[in-house]
Parts: sequence; C-alpha cells; structure tokens
Amino acid sequence: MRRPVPPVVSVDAHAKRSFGVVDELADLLPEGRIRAGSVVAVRGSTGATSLALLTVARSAMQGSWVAVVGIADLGIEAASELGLPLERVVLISRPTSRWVEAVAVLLRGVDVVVLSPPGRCSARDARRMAAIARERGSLLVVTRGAGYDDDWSWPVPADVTLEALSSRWGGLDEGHGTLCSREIAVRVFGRRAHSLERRGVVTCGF
Amino acid sequence: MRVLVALSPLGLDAAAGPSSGDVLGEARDVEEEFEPVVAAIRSISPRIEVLRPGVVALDARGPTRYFGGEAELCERVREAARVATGRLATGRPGCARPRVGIAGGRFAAEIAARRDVIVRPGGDAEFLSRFPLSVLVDAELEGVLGSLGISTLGEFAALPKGSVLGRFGAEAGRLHDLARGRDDRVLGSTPAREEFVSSAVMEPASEVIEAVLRLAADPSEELIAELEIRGLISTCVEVLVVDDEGNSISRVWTVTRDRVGFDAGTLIERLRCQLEELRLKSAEPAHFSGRIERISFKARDVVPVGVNQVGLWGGTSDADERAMRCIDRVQAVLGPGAVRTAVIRGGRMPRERVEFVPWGTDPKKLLRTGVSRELPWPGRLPRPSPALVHDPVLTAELLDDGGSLVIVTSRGRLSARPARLRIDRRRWLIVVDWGGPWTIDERWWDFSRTRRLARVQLLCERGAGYLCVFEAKRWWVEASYD
Repeated sequence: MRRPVPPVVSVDAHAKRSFGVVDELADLLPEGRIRAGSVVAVRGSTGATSLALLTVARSAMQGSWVAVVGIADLGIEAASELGLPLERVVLISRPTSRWVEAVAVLLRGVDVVVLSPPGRCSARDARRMAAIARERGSLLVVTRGAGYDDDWSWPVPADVTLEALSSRWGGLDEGHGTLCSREIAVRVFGRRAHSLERRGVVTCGF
Repeated sequence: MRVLVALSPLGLDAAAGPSSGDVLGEARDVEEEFEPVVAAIRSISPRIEVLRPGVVALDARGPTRYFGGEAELCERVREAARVATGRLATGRPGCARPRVGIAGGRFAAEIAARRDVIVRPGGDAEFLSRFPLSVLVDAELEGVLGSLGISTLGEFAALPKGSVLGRFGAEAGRLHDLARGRDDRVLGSTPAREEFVSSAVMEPASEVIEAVLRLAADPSEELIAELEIRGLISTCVEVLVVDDEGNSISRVWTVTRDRVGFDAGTLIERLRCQLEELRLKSAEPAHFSGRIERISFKARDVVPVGVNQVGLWGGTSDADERAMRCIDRVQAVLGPGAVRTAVIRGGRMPRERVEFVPWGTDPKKLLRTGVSRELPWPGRLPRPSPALVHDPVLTAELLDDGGSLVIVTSRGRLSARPARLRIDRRRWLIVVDWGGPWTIDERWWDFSRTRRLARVQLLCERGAGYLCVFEAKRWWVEASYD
C-alpha cells in the first residue's frame, strides 16, 4: 500500500495561523496576536507564571492542548481559574535530563508548550526547539517562576518577550480581607533591539 | 479464566485509592523505570500484556500450576517486581511496593491488585459488589446512577441488562457486564477469534530502528485497513520482532484509552518503544542478535466499530488525536509516571485540592464520590488561587520592625505587624500588607494526626504575594501568587 507523500511545506506556511490572546494582552502585541511558530519568553520577578498562563489561556479555551514542562509547583487551580481547561493540559513536572527531547516531541503534536527549563539550556538546544516550533506552527512559551534569578533569560532572542514588572493587588488591608483583584504591569518587546517596546497593564483578577 | 494483574509502584499512582497519600509530586526520576519490571515479570510468564504503563496482566492458569498455587505465583511476581524496582524504591519516601492480585477477569483482577488480594474462583461479582461506582464508570454516568440511588458496583450489577442497554447505551452495557464480573476480554496467549496478521521482511536484516520503522509502515496500515473494511477495530495488538537467527520477541499492546482502536501511527509508536527497549536491554534475552529481519502485527482484541467508541471523552477531533498520540510518545520517552494530568477536588489547602493522574488514566474516574469542588469548603481562601503551590514547602522567616519573630498567638492573632519576610534564606523582602491570620484545626496532609495551623497572606514589594503558614512556632511558604 502506497502512502501519500507529504506535501513540501515552506517555513512560512504557518505564518498566517496565529494564537489568540486575551484582549488586554492583544493590545500590547504588535499584531494583536501571537504568530504560530513563535517562541515567547515570559519573565519577571513576580507575576511571570500568571502572565505565562494568561498568554496561553485563550488558545487553550479555543481547543489547543497545552503541555507544561518543568514547572513542578504549578498552581493547578490558578491555571484553571485563568481559563485553561485541565482536560487538555498535560504536566511534565520533573522531566529528567531528557527534557529537550521531550519538548521536541511535544512541539510536533501539541499546539502549546509552556517550558521552565529544568536545567541549563544551551543556545543550540534553544534554536533547535525554536526551529521545530516554526516548522510545526506550534507555540513555545518559556518562563521561569518566582524564586529563580531575577535576570533569567532565554539563551537566544525570543520572537516576543513579555516582562512582568510588578503587580498591584486589591483586597488586603492590615490583616483584613484577602488578595483579590490584580493588575500586572507588563513590558513587551520583540526580537530585534530596535523593535518597539510597549507597556501596559493586564488585569488578572476576578 | 484466571487473570493476574501486577501494579508496579508507578502503576499504583494510576490505581491509587483515596487513602494513598503519595500521589502528590514526590521526586520522580522515572526514566525507563518501568521496563525492568516488565522484563522481570516476563521471566515468570513469557506471555504478558501491558495494560497501561505500570500495569501488567497475564493468564495465571499455567504459571499457577508451575509454581504450585496462586498465592505462590503472586508472591513470585511480587518479589520479581520488587527486585526490579528496588533500585528506585530506596530513598524515595512513601514509595509503595508492587501489588499483585488474581481474579477471574481483567477488571476484577486490577481491583484485586490494588488491594493485594486473590479473589476466589467464581467470586468476581461478589468481590466487586462492594466497590463504589467510581472505580468503573465516569463521573457523568456515576451522577445519573447516583440520582437513581445506585452507588456501588453491586447495585449497578443488579439492574436488568436490558434496561441498562436501553437507557444508557452499548458502552454502559459493557461496563454493566464488567460490574457483574463478566469480563471476557482476551488476554495474553489466547488467540484472536479471527486471524488478522500483517508482516514485513527486512532484506538485509537491520539494526537501525528508523529503517525498521519505515519498513513497518506498510504492514501497520494494511492491518488497520483490513480491519476497517470489515467494520472492525482492534484494541489489543501483538507486535512480533524476529531477528536474523530466528529468535523472536513478542509483546502485546493495549490502546491507552480503552475506547478507541489502534491506528497505524500508534502501532508504529508501540513498535518504536519495543525496539528501543530491545536496544537498551541488549543483554536480555542474551541470544537476541539485534539484527531485525521480520516484524509482524497481529490484532488480538477485535471488536466492531461503535462498540468501543462511545467516547466518555466526549468526542475527539483530529487535533486531539494527534496531541494524545504525541503525549503517548513523550510518556514512552520519559517514563510512565512523568506525564500527568490534574483534577481539582475538595479541600482547604491548595495542595490537597488537586489530584495528579498519570497520563492515560481517565481523569474523570478520579472525581470520587463525596469529595467535590462544588461543596463549600469552610476556610478555603477565595480566588484567585496562587500560581505556584510549593511542594515541598519553602522555609520562611517573618520578622517585625524590631527584628523579632512574628508569631500567631494562642488567640489567633499576629504578635506584631509583619515587616520583613525571607524565603529559603534568600534576600529579605519588605512586607507592605497582609491578610489573616486564619486558623485551621484539622487533619491535614498527615491523616494520622490533627494539626493546628494558621495561614497568612503576605504582600511584599513589587506586588509579590505569598500564602504563608505558621505552625509549631515556625513559618513556611505554602504557595506564591506569582
């Protein structure tokens, strides 16, 4: 039995596809969306995890599968509250030394991969993962949660970088109340040094 | 029929009852952990079937005669699995030992294995009758049956077959059979009723996995097409690998999700697993040359389309199928316990509200009776939930303006205004606001003891929020609002 030969797909074939993001984040992105095949870095000393979840929430709601790699202490309820449907979220919390291989496989079949590198990531591996994402039209979100070095960065320039600068919370008053509404101040910039930098506030409360 | 099921400590996660507390992320370095267990059990009985990662079944009749009794066989399997997992069991707190059970059917044997018991011949229905519905049916069907006052398998089994089929459909009818202890799923060496075999020969024999996989593409598609023409799907396929000296190694594979049959791509992935295992374990069996000359696929469990496809998953798209296949593959790379999904259930503390389920288990099955996220949980903090829930918790120091430790008094108040927080001996953070303390008296993660603790939300500079817990004069960080 002959199998059909897969058509030759140019690298730009996925450029028209994109991943939707929540409106406030869309306002900060140059095209109002994230191109399929992108690498998005999310960093910041506080708020990076929520911002990363928020970045993928809309596409997850629209049916994308999300793999979360290397975030052993991910708050599952927070993910759910931000809109990620847990039945399409897989967790690879402690992916051992073969995490690069695992991410490479995931990017081929799962639309969205959120990665907090469990170890040092070489520029070569980073480029390899980016190339697979570009070829398959998937989205790779790299991040580092609270408690790591503040100056963490992805070894190669990401297509888009989102930086959580600070958060403003409502609800607490000297022992009364609980944390409730939250606004994250975000800085967004692109791959090239001269690319436009945008700043704005993303609501992350309820 | 007598079926033996063995659960490795990894497979136990999939089958863990609510009382097992070790499902929450202990350090797992599970890379290829399961393969030695399969190999060890194969040395007892060559025809084994891997039901799911970590769960192995075999026909117990032959080996029982050989080892002189079912209890002896269980002990033999348990010991073999224990030795094979011994390397990982040491130094891992709370690591369970392998469990083994025997019953008349596969489903009853799995339940028996969780309890480490042998069900007497003919006693499957009686044994199963006292278990809750949740071990068998999904939350939806459980809810419907619950509204009819049916909460155990025994009560479900007592319903007339005809009304179950008429009201709930073929899939529920199948489950009803299982609940009644009628489990005729073919296992191990029993031949399929009709022969569906498709094979290919390598010329010359090759050691290169990719080359073998390329060659296997045609037979895998032929097999599936052959079944398709007859309106059949297969949920269980034997993959046979033969070397150039005529030695063969066969392995029986079952589809991960019980309801959809194999497709050609999944067969190739299973073959890849088998070949990689062979390459890694080149010493076992010693005589296997590694130069592969022939591979063949043989469909075992063959059922008409539709019988198994009533999806409790609520229907799947091509993209879903692609994603699930890909995740199966990652699980093959990293090991069975490494890939998990999560379900939310009841509880007060962030860590106890989430249950992790190894990939391949139907997550809905874990929504157990009596524990629901919809129930009000007094003392649970309102939304938003923290984005990071630390496990293990982080140590913390909380000081007042004068540099003294802030404590929670016996009356449930803070001894002073919190001013500075230090987590895990990193740099000091300035506390700008706080909420609480809220005290809890309850059995917490340690079910054998009652604890008294107090929680405080702390808001630090730049809007970093933490959920801290005070107990026995010490602070720790339970979660971060990152």
